Amino acid sequence: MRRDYEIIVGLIDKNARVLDLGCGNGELLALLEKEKNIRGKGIEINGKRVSESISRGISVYQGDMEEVLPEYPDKSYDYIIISQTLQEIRNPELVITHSLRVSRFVIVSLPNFGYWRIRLSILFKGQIPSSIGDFVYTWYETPDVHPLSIRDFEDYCKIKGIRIVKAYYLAHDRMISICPNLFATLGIYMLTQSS
Amino acid sequence: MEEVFYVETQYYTFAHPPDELVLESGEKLGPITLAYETYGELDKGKKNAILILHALSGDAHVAGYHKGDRKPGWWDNMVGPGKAFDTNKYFVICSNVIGGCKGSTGPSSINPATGKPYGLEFPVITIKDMVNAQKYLIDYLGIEKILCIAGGSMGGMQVLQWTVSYPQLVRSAIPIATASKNRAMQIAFNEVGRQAIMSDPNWNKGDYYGKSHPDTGLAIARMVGHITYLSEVSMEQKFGRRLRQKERYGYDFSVDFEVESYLHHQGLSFTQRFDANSYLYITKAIDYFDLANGYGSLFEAFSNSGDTKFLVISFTSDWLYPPVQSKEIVRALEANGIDVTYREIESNYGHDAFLLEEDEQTRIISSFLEHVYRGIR
Repeated sequence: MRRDYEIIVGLIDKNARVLDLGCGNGELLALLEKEKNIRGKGIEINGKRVSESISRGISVYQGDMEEVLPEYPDKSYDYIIISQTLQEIRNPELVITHSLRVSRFVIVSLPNFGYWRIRLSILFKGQIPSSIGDFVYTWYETPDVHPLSIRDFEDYCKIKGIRIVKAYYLAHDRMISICPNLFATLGIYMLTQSS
Repeated sequence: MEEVFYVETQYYTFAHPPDELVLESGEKLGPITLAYETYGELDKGKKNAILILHALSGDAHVAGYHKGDRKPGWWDNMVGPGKAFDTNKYFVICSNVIGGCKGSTGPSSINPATGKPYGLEFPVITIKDMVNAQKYLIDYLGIEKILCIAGGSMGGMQVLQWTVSYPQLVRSAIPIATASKNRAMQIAFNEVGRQAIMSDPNWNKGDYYGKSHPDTGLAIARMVGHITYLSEVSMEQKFGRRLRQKERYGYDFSVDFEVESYLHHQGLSFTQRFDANSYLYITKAIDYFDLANGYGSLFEAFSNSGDTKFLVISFTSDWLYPPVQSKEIVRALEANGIDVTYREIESNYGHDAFLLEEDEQTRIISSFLEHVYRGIR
């Protein structure tokens, strides 16, 4: 099992209601249904991936999460998952705000653009990296319209009064504990609305 | 080479007086005959029944061949052994509608009170009435819970009505290229079609059986309808400005363009297989359709449908029943906490896509059905 998925699966209670924003081919939801017997639902804009999710037996809505998320009732889910999607969303603030309203917990995983090799690439080569670990896109192909670092995200949570319940940092599937903003390629957070 | 399979249309007659079916209008209709076809075998627990419902001009002959026919049923690419609605696994029923002219009781049927065809004596029917009649058929077949009800366009309206009228009977539903109500533009096109028929002198207030039929009016109605089933892009691809069997413009009002010839052909061939009065009655039923009617809102209408699992399908280029109307259905279902999947298939075929986009529909429908079926075994 992918390490980030393993962590996310570990965070979720049995029989929970789970909404996966940008669920892709439904792999994570299928895993959660198998491991945690959750009641899952995905939102995905890409038709091909929606069909793949349907093939896995996942309930999925094909469309724009920014359009439909504001219509979901308060606390209608136990968990919302935003797995490596936040950096691709046009309006991440809207999605985070509504996710915290719609769900008891929000699980966010994000690629860390503060990773040291990215810093070095910019410092020494003066170039946006396109072949470092998980950062594989050239600037003209990348779907990442909001690249951010672990520090950016944690600052944001502080400013907005969002409570970080748990945080995990990974570099190529290995857990990182020292200077995550420098050494981690991925951050995984469990958030909740501060009361 | 796939095996050709033959089917025969069957008929079930019910609602004999004095136990007629009471229609939404308050009028009574009976006896009623429904034409239907079945494919595959019902399993021991009667748990594998799928009901397919057809669009405006469809019939009970959804798949396979009638003896002597060159063409198969209207959804043969989706229904059959190994297909999306796999008749090796499921018992598929396709029911015709009341008001039609394909073997079920409609305006061209004999009115037992007069011994003559009903014509305009036939009561105005609604989508709900069609579904209530189909309920008799399902009871007669001994099915207590239907695995899935599916259909496109007006068939999708019947699917939705089933989930609201008889939610406890419907395990899953697949409404395709449809809407929870007919909107102004849809009513407008239907009215043009009806006016074309009623303006034909042969129509004679619906009393034309045994005489010349209002074929010109019905053909024009079909021509208008057919345009709404295509898309600007698909028409451009199919016809462009190509001329019909000529090198240059005729400078008269005969057929110049391929698209004109195509529409004429569609109109003419329709008159050979459809009854003008049925066209009036069925388009009226579609126009009256508003699932929220009597409930206050669409959300309220679905409030008892919680145990039904939905797969809602729309097509990007469908401008007759556009994706936005499917999304309305999905949102009302979601607001009720109902399990719904929504897929908007990219297609240039317009409304007709539900009959033509077999690959993508096969993929999602077969897995959807498999998961629903697996969930109850």
